[in-house]
Amino acid sequence: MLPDYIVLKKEINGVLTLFMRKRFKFYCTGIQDIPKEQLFEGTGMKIQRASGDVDESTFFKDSIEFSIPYEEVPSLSLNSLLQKVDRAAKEMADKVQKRFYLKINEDLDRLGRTVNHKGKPFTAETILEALDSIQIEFRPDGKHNDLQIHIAPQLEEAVKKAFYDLETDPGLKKRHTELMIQKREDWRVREASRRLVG
Amino acid sequence: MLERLLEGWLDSASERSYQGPFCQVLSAKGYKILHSTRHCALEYGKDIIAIGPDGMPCAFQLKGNPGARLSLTGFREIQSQLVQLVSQPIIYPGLRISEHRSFLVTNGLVEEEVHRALDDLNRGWAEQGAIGYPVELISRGQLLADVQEYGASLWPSELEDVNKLLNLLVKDGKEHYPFDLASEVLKDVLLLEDDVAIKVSSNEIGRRITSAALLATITLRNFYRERNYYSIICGWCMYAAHVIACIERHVKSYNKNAKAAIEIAMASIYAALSDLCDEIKERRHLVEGDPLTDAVSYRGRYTLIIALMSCYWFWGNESGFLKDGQDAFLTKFIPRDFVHHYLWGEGAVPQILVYIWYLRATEAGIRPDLLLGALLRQIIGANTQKNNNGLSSPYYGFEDEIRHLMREFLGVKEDPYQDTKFQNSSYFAKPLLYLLVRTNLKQTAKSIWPSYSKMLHKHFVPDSKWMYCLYRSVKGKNVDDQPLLTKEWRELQQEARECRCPEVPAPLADNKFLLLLFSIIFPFRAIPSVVSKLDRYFNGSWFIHEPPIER
Repeated sequence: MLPDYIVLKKEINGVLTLFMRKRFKFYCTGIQDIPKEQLFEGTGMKIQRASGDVDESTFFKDSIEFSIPYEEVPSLSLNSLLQKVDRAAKEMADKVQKRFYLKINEDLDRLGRTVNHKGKPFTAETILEALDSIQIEFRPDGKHNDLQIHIAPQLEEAVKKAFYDLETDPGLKKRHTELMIQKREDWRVREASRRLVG
Repeated sequence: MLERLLEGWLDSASERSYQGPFCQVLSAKGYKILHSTRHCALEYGKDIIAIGPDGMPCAFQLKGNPGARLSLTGFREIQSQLVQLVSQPIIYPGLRISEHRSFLVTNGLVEEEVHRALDDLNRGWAEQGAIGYPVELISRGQLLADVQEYGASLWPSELEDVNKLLNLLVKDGKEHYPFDLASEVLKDVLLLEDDVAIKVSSNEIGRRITSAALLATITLRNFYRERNYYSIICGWCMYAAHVIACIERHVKSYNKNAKAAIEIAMASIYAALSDLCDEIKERRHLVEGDPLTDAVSYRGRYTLIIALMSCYWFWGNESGFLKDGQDAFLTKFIPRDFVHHYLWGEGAVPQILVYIWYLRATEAGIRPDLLLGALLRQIIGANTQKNNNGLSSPYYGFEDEIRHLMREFLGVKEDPYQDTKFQNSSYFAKPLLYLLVRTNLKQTAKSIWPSYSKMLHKHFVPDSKWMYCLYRSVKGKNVDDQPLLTKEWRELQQEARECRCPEVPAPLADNKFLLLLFSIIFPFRAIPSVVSKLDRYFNGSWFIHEPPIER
């Protein structure tokens, strides 16, 4: 057997894994800000909601493969190796995000929380309708918590225009303001009802 | 190779560290162990008292001669103990005074002169009609044959598993007991792997329980050598829990197949707690190892030690086995307030809880209940505050927290928490709220509720009961419980009355000290029903009008 430099290679492997994880995070643009949690055992999760609903989900295993042919090894520079790992991280991020959005869509459909516009264009009305359908949390200073809108890339221009309309069209702006006042009131009532009674 | 491992262990084992495995072998041979606890006020003049398979009482005197010979000089030094062994009857509650068999046990070789001297003594005792005549000798050869027969023959033999075992054996005895590796090898011996058929005879299970005990002993060798009592406790707790998992999984009688082995393991745990108490008593300070860096770990260790000593205080008082001076020492040593405790994460909660129970047991008045309220407030406060990472979940240990806090200073490549936010969730807020409800501190509970109701309350439910006893359960669900916005106090009281814990196998749920230590060692197993049960065991007060639901 030829010398393997096993300790050194293990060290490099550790750094490569870390590099891959960081690049994966970088490419997960859509789900980067979603709170994450490491789970150490089991096969899935179960959420028992206050409403009595129970949501169950199982873990999925996602993986990607990439290969380095033997003949490539002698001339493989660190830069090229990192590029390969980077590509793999991107591929993995795409896979995970795709699964995430599919799962979200599936759950929202199941719970009847989907607004289907049946091919109609994305407008300010769509935003108002979406805001109306969700629960919004507010901070003590009266401002709402950060909201995110996740869209397909081809919708970018339409969404920009919809937000522009919402800010500039007096009628739409008024409806938006009234909706947010209503949402703040809903939140206030909700918070006031957090009580242990009796 | 496994035989060589056993030989190596036997040749380095002190008297104290081979007593437990020797008892396990005796038990496997059909002896009923009545007494094997050392270091206690009630010494019966014999290290081990047992009833033989033939019904004859037996007394064993153990000597440690690791890697050496019992010489004539050494033999003369212990001769007075042998006189006691052979001439004084076995005095043990419930055992009538009668003839008994006496054994001198050594893990060393025995010189020829000693055999001769023992023969002479036995002849003398025969003429005197001594009650325990003659003294029989069990030496290294016999011990080795026994531990090989009951141990190594069932140990993992696949290369990968042998590697795990070897990795365990080279662990630094000053470190934490390696739960992951130990669990892997125990699961293998106790047939707890998923792919193992469950049609196994009771005899086979019994043999495997003894074999696993010997395996646990070997893995604890370095920890015994360093007198790392906490790791010794972890090792035996882990063994006991895995044995219960085995019994539960293979649907065997606990009393017939595992009770004796677990009682021996519990005796080893008790002895380790007693030794730890003695060590603390002798020390002038609790700094461990290099003082330059110990400031980082001091408060975490302190919190753990107070928990272990609180547990020992309960156990010693209940069994009446606290050694002379230990009770008074513990009363002085265990503090009356939280000042030096460190709530480094939710993993520390069971440690602080047992301390609160100790306070509850030793002082009248409302103060311990207020401390419970303060602990709950602290958890909820830390985990609902904006821009705060929150207290780590009980799946993370003290070392993870320190690595996280000092990650930049240490140049740690990857934060152990890996971007996990613990905000708005908790594993212990729910069980602690139930305990608070039992104290009837209604106003405190009311003031906590608005923040409490914003959190997700987490625990893990394994698919089968036996999986609860494992370090990690492959099958099961991570449950998030979302409370109602408005709740009736009365309804909360009804929930707080619940003291059964259906998720836990009965032999573990019924063994209060094992369950308590298991919860301290594996805090993620201190699920709400277990905390409720432990509270009933260790907290005598109850302020709900209706009685607890225990059956």
